[in-house]
Amino acid sequence: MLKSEKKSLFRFLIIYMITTMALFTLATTIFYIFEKHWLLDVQKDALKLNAESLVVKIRQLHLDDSDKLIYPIEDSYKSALFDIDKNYIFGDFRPKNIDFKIPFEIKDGVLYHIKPVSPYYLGTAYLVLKKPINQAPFERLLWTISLFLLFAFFVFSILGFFLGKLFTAPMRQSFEKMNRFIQDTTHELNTPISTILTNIELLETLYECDGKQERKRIEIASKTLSRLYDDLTYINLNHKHHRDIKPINISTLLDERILYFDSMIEAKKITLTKQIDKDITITIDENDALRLIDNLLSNAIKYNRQKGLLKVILDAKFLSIEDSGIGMDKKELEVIFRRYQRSNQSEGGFGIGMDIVNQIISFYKFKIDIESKKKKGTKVSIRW
Amino acid sequence: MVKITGLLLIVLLTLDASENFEGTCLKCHNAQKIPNSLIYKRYLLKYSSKEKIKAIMVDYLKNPTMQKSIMPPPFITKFGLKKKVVLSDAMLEKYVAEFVKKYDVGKKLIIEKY
Repeated sequence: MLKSEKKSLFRFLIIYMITTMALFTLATTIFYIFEKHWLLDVQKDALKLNAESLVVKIRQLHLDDSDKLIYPIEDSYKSALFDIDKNYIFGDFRPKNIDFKIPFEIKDGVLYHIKPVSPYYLGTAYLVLKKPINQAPFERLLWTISLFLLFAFFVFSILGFFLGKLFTAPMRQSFEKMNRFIQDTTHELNTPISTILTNIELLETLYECDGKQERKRIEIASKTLSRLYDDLTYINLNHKHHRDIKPINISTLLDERILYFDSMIEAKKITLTKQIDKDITITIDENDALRLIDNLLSNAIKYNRQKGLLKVILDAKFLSIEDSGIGMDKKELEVIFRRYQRSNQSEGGFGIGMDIVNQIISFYKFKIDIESKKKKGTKVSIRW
Repeated sequence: MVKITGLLLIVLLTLDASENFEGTCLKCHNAQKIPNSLIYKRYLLKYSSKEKIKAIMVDYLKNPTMQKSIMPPPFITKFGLKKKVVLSDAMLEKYVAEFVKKYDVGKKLIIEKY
């Protein structure tokens, strides 16, 4: 899966999951509130029935002429009798601060039921019943709803993943088409570029002819094309090619690459300063090192001014390439590693150079430091 | 002159023998086998609170009518209406309070311990 496709799929999934789960949670919350009320109503109805049966028992007591009247008590609830002036008559508990106007009241997890009685058996005008609210059904409901939400999250995640794949399929196809096109194009470019470069070298070696400057220009143009080919091939093969990581002499490689860019440096009349320590070795794939150096050197030349300065320093710990070119401001520095990002639209290139640099330093866990000032120049340091 | 004679008679009656609740009220009630407990329960059933019952009883005893009576009309028809009680308000209220206290149902209620 392509990186951008992964990113798109991830973003789609996030938005899809947030909206779906928000709606689902809202619906579930409403359901929970209704269900909670219903469960509470069930307990209220049960207490109401208890009150009804207690009234019957009190009526029987009222008719009883015995010297002792045994007050009916139940394990499931407690009750108390009040007269019309709200004076306590009797009961197996003594409630306080009761609002006789409302039939049901909940205080500290206890359900109170106030039942008006008429006629007033034993003088009872109000019957007050209390029963602790049974929390078990509420806990069961909450547990079921949580499980349901978890299940919904799981189902919607799978559904979202497949939907996302479906939506990103056209994008993936376009990418694949574009990559195939670049691959084909670069492949077709390789042979003519190699032919031009080889023949220019042959011309320089074998023949002494006029038009040296024109030949130089052809050489620079061909080398630019050759590097572009290498960059494009690198990007295309990045996920597939096998890296041969071994210690390489970076000093020699750096010297070779400076020599390779010599014609471009000359063409721009850039003054080159080199401080390259000999036989510095780092463990890296040679192609990665080549692309890293080439891109940094190429940028330093490309964005340099005419008769500018180019300073290359290499020691055991870092490589630094400094130019006196157009430089960059903070905003440009923030997006420098983005693919297809170009500092100067008037210069050639696809803007893939720094993306390649970033990929390589990330892979080897190198550290990159870029100091740049607009119209002053840029210094790129890589530490390993 | 008639008024003075009447007042003297009342005073004499009030001072007579038993100047307490038992002697003034229950003596006749018991002699006539009046079911005090049942009467009180009828009051409870209709008026609920002790304070209300006391007020209603005092009012009835001071000026008994069929409408004010707690007993049903056939009962009054058969046994007749109670005679007006000739007692001071304070005494009447005291005796009524004692009556309510004596026949209070609340004190009969108990919780049976298991």
